[in-house]
Amino acid sequence: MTTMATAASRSTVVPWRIVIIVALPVLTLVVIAAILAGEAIGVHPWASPPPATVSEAAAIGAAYQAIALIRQGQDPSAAGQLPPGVIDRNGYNLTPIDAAIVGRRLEMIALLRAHGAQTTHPGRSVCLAHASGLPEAVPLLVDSAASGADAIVDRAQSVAEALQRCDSRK
Amino acid sequence: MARVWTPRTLPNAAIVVAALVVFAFLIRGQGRTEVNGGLGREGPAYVAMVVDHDVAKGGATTRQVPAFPLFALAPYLVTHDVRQSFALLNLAALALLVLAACVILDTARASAATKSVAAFAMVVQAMPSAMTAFDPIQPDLFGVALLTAALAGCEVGARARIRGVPLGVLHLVAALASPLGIVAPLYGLVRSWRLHERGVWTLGIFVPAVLAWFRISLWARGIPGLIELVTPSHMRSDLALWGDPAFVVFALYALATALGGLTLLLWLRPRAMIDAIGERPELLVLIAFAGPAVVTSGTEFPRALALFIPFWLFGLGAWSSRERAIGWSLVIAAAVTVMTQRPGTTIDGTRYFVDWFPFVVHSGRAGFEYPELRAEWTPRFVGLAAAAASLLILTRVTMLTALLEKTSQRARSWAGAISATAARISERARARTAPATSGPLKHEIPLDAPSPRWTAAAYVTAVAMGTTIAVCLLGIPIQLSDSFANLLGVMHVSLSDLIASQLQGSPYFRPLLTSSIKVVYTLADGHLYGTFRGLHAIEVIVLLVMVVRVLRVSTVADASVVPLGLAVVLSMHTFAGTIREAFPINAYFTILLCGIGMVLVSQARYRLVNDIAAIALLTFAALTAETGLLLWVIGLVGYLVGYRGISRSGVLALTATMALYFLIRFAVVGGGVPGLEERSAGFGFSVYDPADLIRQFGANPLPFYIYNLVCAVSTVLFGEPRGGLWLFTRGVVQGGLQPWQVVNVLACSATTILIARYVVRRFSYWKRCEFNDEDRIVLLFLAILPANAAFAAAYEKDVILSPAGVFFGLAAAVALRELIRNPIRDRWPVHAFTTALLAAIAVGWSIKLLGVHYSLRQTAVSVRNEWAYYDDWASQQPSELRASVDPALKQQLYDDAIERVPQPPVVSFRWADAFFDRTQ
Repeated sequence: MTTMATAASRSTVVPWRIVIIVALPVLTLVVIAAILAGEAIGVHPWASPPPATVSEAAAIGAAYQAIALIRQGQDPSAAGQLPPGVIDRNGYNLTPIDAAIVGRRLEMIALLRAHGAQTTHPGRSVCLAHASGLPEAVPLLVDSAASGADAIVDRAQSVAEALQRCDSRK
Repeated sequence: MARVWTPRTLPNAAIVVAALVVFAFLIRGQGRTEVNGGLGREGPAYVAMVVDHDVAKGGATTRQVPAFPLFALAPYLVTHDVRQSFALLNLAALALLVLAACVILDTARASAATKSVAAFAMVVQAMPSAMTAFDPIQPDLFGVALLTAALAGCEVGARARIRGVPLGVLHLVAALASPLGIVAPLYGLVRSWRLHERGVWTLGIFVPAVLAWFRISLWARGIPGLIELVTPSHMRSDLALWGDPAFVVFALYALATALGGLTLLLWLRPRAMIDAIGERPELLVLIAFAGPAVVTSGTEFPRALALFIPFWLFGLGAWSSRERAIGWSLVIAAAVTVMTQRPGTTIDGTRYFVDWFPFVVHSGRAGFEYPELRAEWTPRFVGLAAAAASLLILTRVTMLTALLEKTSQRARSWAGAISATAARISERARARTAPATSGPLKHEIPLDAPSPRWTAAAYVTAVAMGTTIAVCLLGIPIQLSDSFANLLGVMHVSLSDLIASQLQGSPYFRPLLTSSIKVVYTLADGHLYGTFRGLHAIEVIVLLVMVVRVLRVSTVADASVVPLGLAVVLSMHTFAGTIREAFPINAYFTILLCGIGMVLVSQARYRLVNDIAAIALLTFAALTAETGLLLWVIGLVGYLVGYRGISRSGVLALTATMALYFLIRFAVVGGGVPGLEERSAGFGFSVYDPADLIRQFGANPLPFYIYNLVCAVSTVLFGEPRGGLWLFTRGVVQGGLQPWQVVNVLACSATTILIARYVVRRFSYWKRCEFNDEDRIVLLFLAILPANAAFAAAYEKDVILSPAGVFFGLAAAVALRELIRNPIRDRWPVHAFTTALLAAIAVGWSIKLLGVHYSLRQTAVSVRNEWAYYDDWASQQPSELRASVDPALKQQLYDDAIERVPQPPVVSFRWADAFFDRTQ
């Protein structure tokens, strides 16, 4: 009887441990496989869509995607749409260099310049650099310190405020 | 009275309806061809036939299938929309095809699951089903559906006595629906002849269809046209493509996946196809006509394979009637079908060729360049190979199971001596796989019943897990840092010069690492990304399979620890550096493969070749990276704890090899070890650069080395510190603790407690030198850990501890297995603690397993961004390196990173991302 009770307790105790050990890793593997399989057929609910414009790529610091879009024919100087959620809750229409400034992607500015991007309104761009708290970007935007001196402004509280202050510099 | 309604009619009807619903859902948003204004290549001819009611319009090909436009006429008269008419006709054809498939499978008494998977394959297969959405006015689906229905009709007609006019009409229409429509009535004639149904009435059913086919073919092509089809010059030109290796490769892929995973199943069990022909020799008629047509179809090869659909269905029927456990095979086959047929993807002019006629793109016949072709197709071949391996293991194991059962049945039928022999055999098998039977580990519970299916399940898990990592790896281009310089270093240098350059004396002695890069670079022949990354991906799968082999899985207790054990191996932060980076061959990964290989050699039964293999492994590993010397530790400790795969002489030879290595490296070559000036290192809560290290420890580096040694051991056991930095401790003390740090420390520490529990329980046996197989694995880990830590004394880098990390995973699996087998002594507080411990381990490593894939995706982005800033990188390099840059190589790798290698989606789980270790 003792042997049977022991055997019964063994059979009731052990399966729970197997379930704990097996279930979670197998479930994780199934989830991963499902995500990969979904991607293979074009379904990826947890992935954000790739940037559609050079400006959007510049704002998020996706350097290779910015270059790829330029290679596909997008103008590196032309203003592009930044959908809501990229910088903040608002959407914006900015040139790639300005998008890099408001996105605080200093390294993107030099990269864009190397791939042919121009500052269409240098004064505005310098103003945005100061308003966004990125004064170290100014030397990348203008040829001399003097040409950017009159665009110095205080740091803005938000991107919208920075743009509002600097739009008059166009 | 003919029985039309059978017990299978309702299920078949349900399957047909479900198939149509799925098809209608899948083709929503499907692209449309732009050729001829959306009508397709042959559309205008068929449209003219329907609208103008003139079947003489069009060319030889379109006129040979008059049934197609004739049947489209019926819906056209109602809808007056020619496109809609053909779409409705295709829908009807698909329904007929699915029904015919069910009928064929019913003749083999296939299960509902088999029929459902077959119906699913019919619906999602690209050719001919899904293509009808892209190019609706083409007769492929219609022709195949009628051919299949005609062959199915012969089966039903034979049983249900549906004869005469209906069957004859079906064959007549089938003969006029496809250029190879003659197969249907010839099949019927041969079948009837075989079944001794040789009367005039039988001839009357099938002969009109044969005559009609000849009449239509003569009318469509004329006698010269028909003769030209079979002239040697015509056939020779059609066969010329088979001389192109790329064509052969793509053709084999198409052949293996013509019906998705179902054809893959059949190719892995060719006996089923042979049995199908044996049961129905008339299938040779189909093969005799369709075979040459497919082989000579040239670039249309993938499309022409649809002609074999009836044959695949009969083969599937034969497979299902003989296979014992088909459930998992069907699941994998369905998954492979989705993977290869890519249902729901939008087809446009480019994707049509890239996905379904890749050779046309590869050979430049498509009229456009597609540089990403190789990068897109390499993962498909890898995925197919992984699926084939899984199915192969599964099918072979079920066959072995059947063989074992048959053998035991035969044994049971003999009383007395045979049953005693069987009992002795099973007792020996149990003793071989079970741990020591003395003391508290005695186990006589069903969990230890050996079965090949558990072995197969373990290997399938390993392949599946490895494949998910491999897929993520293939999204990472060749990295810039380390890889580019290494490739430049091997490009224009011969193998002998490379090895000689390593013998100049330096802190690192790795002649075979650069040689390996050179060999693979040469074999790659310009296809660097595909070759190096493909190799890396395959290495991951191979490593996991080898780890499962080490564990010797044969029971449910063994198999149940494999998923978590492999998760530990893959998710250890020490393992991350072996997959996140490659130079472009990751030397640390090579060492892992050699190390596990050494364990397998030690575990095997002794043969002289084992000693030779052990010495070869040690030599190769030691000359690839310094941590390769750990193989000597594995060989020696393995022998000491009881492995006899390597002889005592072999262990002595390994020791001599070690000594020779030190002699050559330090005495002959004159190399040194890395000093404090070599690189930055973590110390306490901060990173010290070389100047700081020299200032602090230059006079006496011993405390720093001891610190690194302790950190190395601690990082494996507790996940803290990381690279010599006490991040978790800093987070607790100074604030800013990250969720991933908690997961990391919790998972590693809980696992260490589990291993410690095992050690405590077995220590009394170890004192008496009584070791079982599980003890040996844990003892190997306990030996490898300090030995591996010694290599991190100069500077602590997580990836240096990767061998110890893999053995940590093996020890964890062993400890888990012991815990499953032996809960006898657990009182409720201990039981509760143990359950909580297991839960922490399972949750922690599952999160980390997800995190590994997540971090590989992040790596894919960072590698690409690194290439984007190539100019910045180049400006920081020594002038000699800048001068040696090969512009073509640089441009190739740059283009791969920026555009060619497809960027996998950047996945984010929002707040849950904080639980993933992005530093690993």
